[in-house]
Amino acid sequence: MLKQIYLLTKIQLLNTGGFNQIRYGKDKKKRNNLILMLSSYLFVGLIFAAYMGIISFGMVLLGMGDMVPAVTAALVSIVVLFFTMIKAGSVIFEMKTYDMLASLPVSPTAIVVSRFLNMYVMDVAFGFIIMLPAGIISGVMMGKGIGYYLLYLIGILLVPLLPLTIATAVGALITAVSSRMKHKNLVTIVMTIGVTLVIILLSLSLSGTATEITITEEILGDLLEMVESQIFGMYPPARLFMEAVSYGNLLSGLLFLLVSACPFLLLIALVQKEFLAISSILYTHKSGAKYEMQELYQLSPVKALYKKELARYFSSSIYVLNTLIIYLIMILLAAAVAVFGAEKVEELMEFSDIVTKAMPLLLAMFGCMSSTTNCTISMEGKEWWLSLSLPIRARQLFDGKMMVNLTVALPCYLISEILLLFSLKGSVLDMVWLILVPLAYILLFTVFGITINSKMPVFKWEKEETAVKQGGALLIAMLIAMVSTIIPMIAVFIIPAGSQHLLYGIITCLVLAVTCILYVRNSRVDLRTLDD
Amino acid sequence: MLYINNLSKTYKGGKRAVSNLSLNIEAGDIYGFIGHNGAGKTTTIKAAVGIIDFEEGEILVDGLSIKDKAQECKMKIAYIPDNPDIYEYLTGIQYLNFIADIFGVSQTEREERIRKYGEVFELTPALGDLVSSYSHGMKQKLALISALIHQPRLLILDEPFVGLDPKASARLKEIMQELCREGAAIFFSTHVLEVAEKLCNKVAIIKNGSLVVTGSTEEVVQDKSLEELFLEIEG
Repeated sequence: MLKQIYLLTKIQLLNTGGFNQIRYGKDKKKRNNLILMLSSYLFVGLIFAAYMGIISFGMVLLGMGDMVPAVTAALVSIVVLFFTMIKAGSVIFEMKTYDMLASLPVSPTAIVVSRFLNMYVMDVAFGFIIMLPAGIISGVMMGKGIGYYLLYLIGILLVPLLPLTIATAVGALITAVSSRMKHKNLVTIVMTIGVTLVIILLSLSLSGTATEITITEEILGDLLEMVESQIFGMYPPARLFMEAVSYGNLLSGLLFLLVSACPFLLLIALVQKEFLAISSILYTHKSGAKYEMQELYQLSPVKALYKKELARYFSSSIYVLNTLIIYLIMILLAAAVAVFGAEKVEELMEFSDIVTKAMPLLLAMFGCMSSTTNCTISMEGKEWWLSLSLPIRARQLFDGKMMVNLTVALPCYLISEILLLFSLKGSVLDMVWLILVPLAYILLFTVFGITINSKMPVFKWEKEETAVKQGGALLIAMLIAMVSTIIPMIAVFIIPAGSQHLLYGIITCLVLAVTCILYVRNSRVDLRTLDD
Repeated sequence: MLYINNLSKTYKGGKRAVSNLSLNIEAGDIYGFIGHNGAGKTTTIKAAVGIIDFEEGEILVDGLSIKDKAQECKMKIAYIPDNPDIYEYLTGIQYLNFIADIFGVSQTEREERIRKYGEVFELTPALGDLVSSYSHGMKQKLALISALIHQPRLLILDEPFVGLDPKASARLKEIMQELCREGAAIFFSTHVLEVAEKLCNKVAIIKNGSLVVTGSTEEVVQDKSLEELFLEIEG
């Protein structure tokens, strides 16, 4: 059994990172793309590691070094909770590879456990990036002994277990509940978004309460108290971890081990017991009543492509969740400004004047970070032959795909705009930029998603998660979206007051010009040259 | 209808899949394309339907180059691969309607053809179900109906009989003959040599990317069976 678990986990991990392609692939372009993708991940990882290192350094200087394990553990837990929730159901209950493996002498338990381990290994890798540099820096600065490092390392392995368990349990529950409904995907999407937004609001409300203390009592003791209340409120087991690592309290360490591992093992036992029952409900297609020919309507090729793409989008809960959540956060941000006012939101974000000075760009950042087009070509997977063999031009195909993103993005943008236009004060020109800048960015990244995905498509995948979350195109598009909005944001703060209008004008023109250039270039792409 | 002249295709990594291959498929032909696994059949077919690019030679569909006039050529072609992966998130009828939209088939014509071929392949009752619930054979039948919906002038099929039940296979053969009588051309690859021998008026045998034998079935086979000839060529 252990050997089977090991082999299955290994195969899944090899598939996840594309390591086998790099090692054995003969196609240089494909290898280079994969190396570029992994390098991008590494780059982002290094930025995170450096950032956490700096935070750790600062905390030690402020006399809060002992809190470093708790802070890093809480951060990892929240991120794991957030991201696992989105994918847990589809990863654990994926049936295509299960059907293939079930015909082999492999135990179902080994399959389920290996799927948990696959997610766990990825989460631990993330844990190492966030926690290790911070732990080493704080340990060295505080002159800690070997026991500190040993317990800290064990902690890195344990920290993702509890959030992974909670996220999987919620994800599995959502999957199980929705499997009994008529519109399974829609119910999964709505429920997961609901839970995720609750997590975001809860963590925001915790940080909001704590910030007030800093403003009223600016003394170090209160700062420590504030961080403690924030961290332990967000993730209570962090206290046990801190006591074990920072103060060498082995009983706390043992309790942390039990709190992390026991629920995880219990969940695995439960899931593997109910796996087949849930999966069979989930993937049994109800055969409708016998179809009788009805009147059919003719659409233009572009409309037909759009309709097909829309069906594709809503057929995949992981695709919807991964893209829609950022747009919903954009609405949340606008709603927060409308309800609490700009100053309160700036306080919450711990960034003064960000709303009053750079709202158009802030809105643009959320509006362009998760375009559905970033992975829309990859989502075609094995069905790509149809797009190649049908008499459709690249422009028609891409128009259909881009219209889906606009269908998702524009209503969110419009709601956000209405909320902001009625709540923010400013000149007519301020309002014009508030409308134009985010719109220009949404259009740009709708088009850019096609550009980047056509350069780095991933057609050979078994799980939708691979196309949605692991493509290099997605990461690069997100990075460029962030950089292209953050740089002008910095400029807004640097340039003299009154010059913002000129800056926004230049940005809008530039963004729209690039959009047009990319659109024309995309339209000329020879679809036959797209290959992963 | 389909003219392939000196086609050569080399894949990335240096593998030469097809070498100087020439074929001429005329209106009314049912042309069988035979060869062992990896001989270059699928590569030739994919190049002919405009799915993959090629560096040497030319391919003309009804006189138009697939390289320069891909759209126009594809409007005349229907292609079904050996394992048709069809949009699983659509129902059968949605898929057929989508294909009809792409080819600009009028409302009346699409209804008439879907009704006709749906009954021929006994798929009409399942057209309201999602494609993901279909068996391999049902997907094959759906792909066949979608290929026939726009009355193609050239039908290119890669292993069309795999996965079909005997009744559907027989119906497909009848349809192929009917289409050819109406002036269309059919080019298909197969491993079922008996079918090729009985159904095709012309055959071509490909080995290691090069054409070994081509011509009318009678001339090629002479006093042997197609199977004997094929085994002789393969050595």
